[in-house]
Amino acid sequence: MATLAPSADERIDPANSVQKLYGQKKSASEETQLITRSTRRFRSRSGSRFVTIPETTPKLPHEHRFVIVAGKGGVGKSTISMALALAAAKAGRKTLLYQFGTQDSKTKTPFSEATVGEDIVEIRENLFAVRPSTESGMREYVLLKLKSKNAYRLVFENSFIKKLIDGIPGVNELIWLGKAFNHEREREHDGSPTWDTIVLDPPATGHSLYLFQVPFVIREAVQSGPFHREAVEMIELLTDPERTALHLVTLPEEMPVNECIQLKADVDARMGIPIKSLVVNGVFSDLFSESEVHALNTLRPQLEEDGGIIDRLVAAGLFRIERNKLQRSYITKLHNELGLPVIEMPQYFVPELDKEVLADMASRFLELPAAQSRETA
Amino acid sequence: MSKPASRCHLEPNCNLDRAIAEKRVIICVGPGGVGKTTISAVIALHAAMQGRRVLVCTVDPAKRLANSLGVSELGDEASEIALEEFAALGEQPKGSLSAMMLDMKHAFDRLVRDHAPDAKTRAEILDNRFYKYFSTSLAGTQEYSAMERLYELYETTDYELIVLDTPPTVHALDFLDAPNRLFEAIDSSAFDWLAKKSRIRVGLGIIKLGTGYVLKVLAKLTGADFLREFSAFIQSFSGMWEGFKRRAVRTKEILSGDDVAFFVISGADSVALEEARYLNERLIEEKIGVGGFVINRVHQSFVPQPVLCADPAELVGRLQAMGFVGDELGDMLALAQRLQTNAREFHVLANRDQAQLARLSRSVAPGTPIHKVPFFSTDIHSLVGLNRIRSELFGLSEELAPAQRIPGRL
Repeated sequence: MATLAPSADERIDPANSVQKLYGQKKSASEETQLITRSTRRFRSRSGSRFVTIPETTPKLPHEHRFVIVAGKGGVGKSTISMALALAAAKAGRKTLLYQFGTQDSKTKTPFSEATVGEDIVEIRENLFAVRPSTESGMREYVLLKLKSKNAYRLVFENSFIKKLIDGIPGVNELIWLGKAFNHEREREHDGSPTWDTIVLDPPATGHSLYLFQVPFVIREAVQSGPFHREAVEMIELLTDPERTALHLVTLPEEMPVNECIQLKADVDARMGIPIKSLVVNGVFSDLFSESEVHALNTLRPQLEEDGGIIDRLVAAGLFRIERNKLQRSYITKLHNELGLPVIEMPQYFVPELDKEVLADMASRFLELPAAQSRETA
Repeated sequence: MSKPASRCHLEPNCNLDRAIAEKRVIICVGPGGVGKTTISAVIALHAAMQGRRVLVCTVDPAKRLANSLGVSELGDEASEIALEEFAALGEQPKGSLSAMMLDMKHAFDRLVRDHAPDAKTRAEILDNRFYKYFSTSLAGTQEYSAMERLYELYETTDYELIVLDTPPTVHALDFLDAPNRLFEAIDSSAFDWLAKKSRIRVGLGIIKLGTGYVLKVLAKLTGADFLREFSAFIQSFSGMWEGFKRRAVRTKEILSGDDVAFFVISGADSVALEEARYLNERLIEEKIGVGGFVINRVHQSFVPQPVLCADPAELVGRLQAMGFVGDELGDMLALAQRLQTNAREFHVLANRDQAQLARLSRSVAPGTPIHKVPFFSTDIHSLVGLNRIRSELFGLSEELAPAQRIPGRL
């Protein structure tokens, strides 16, 4: 159990180590909370005894077991979840990329030619992917609980019941979530978890996180029975900062930023799923120095609508400068209002998302502590 | 109330101009985060300027759209937008524009209030935990609510044109599918016994044999508690299904009517476009008139290819000719190179977008209008900003304006 024992450093001041890692100033109450939580007991990998480990063991985004990537549609959530899964796989963790697929939707990833569908496929060393369909997810879940194929066939393949289940809004999403929980519980013969990291890429409907509210609703609505127990277990996992990490994804633009701030408030108030970082996608790199920006701006009044080559080059430069400035202001707003470690992903100038882009994104997750401490210094 | 002729129903060539002149309802659908709300507002604005009495319904709870329309807040009631500003710009508005924000959270509540047989049932439903979750959070309910409101506005107001902005969808057509699925479920016999079950206790034997078995299995899976709660929830709803159903049928009729046009709004990236294409196919399958596509935020290439490879030294000369004073020649050269790098990067993005758009036009029926709006360097905060997009959308709908324009000032 050597790996689980806290190092001397970490034991001294867990709150401080978080600050060191992420460069965040924690409030007094947050510190207290961290310290209390740090003595929580967790079941060791063998599952046979309890050990005490500090909650604040600095973890990179991919180092949790249950990694949820959340954000509105169009912000690059799926790309980020692929990059996170790649980071985990590269770090030697057996990783499952868990996507949401609509009925018989199959897709390929930039990693390999393998088609990702309802069966788990290996798409790269250490990296597996699955896109469960509702039907297979349902069958798997029901069989796991009922242990009777007959009962499944008679009840769930009954057309009346099928219609009923299809008609309940959100049932697809719920089954999807339930199956993800089952993967988290999967164990090998020696009792170790089958998956070191599961990266969830939930459907981007409204706030994608409403889906994660389901267990909370069930826990309140029913006081006993299998569903209640299931919900309680799900909530334990979702709110366990040691196993679960939620990463918000957004773009440095007005609407996505506002929605992201709202999303965090909702999660904190209603669910308490530990949010570990904020990934900002598509950040234009600063190309021009401050004096160049100034100089280019002084040229603006001279630019002509149908100007020559140099006018257009300068116009393009000014376009970039304006976007950069706007993006910076939104990133600052996110920093100020969310108090989360912010991980910036650059705008990639490539024809399409490929392995190289994902590898670069993954390396940004893997090198995070260095980058963050540089920032603090 | 004018009900214009339906010349372009299901014809692929119903571009925005015609839709604005002829339709009674324009529905903007598409993936999230592509600027649907803004485009809806621009379409409505243009129609108003052209002389129609327009209502735009947005689902965007942010105040930004309200602000850019010049009002402090939009509510669930339509408020008229002042267009005098345009007179100052030299254009006299010929029609009028009203705007409202759809209150999605309470749309279902309103439905319950309208259809509940009595106060007790109403209170029961509104207090039910399942209901609270269902009505606000689940996939499909928002889409359903938007369609509900459209029904109301269509039936009870006399706007000449209603422009509806819809919530982003994951299952492309949830706003059509969700009501259908819901009502199929309600119609099913399974629902019937589940609804009646709360009057009897599980396993009491009044229910038919097969059903008893089904219940037993379900109860084993979910727990009797859950099943009881859930069927109590369904039970409390049972008096209202008829009303719900009638409205769903009517809504579907409205949507497939020939005074309605759908426009698919999308970004130029492959993920959004794939969803947009799928949406288009599904609408055609449902025999619903698709007017065309509006592709927002298309990157422009500022300079033609050869300039990107030109000798930076030559560019330094031109910079100096513009009166640009650099401290040292080396700095000037570096700046020229950076300007080229920058333009090259935009060129890549522009090419990427063009390739995606070419793919889109190959995959849809020939002649399907694809309107484009360029990516701007700033956000839209005013009527003038909306107007800028308007001129892009309605002035130059076939080809992107060659990018000689001074960048991004809205």
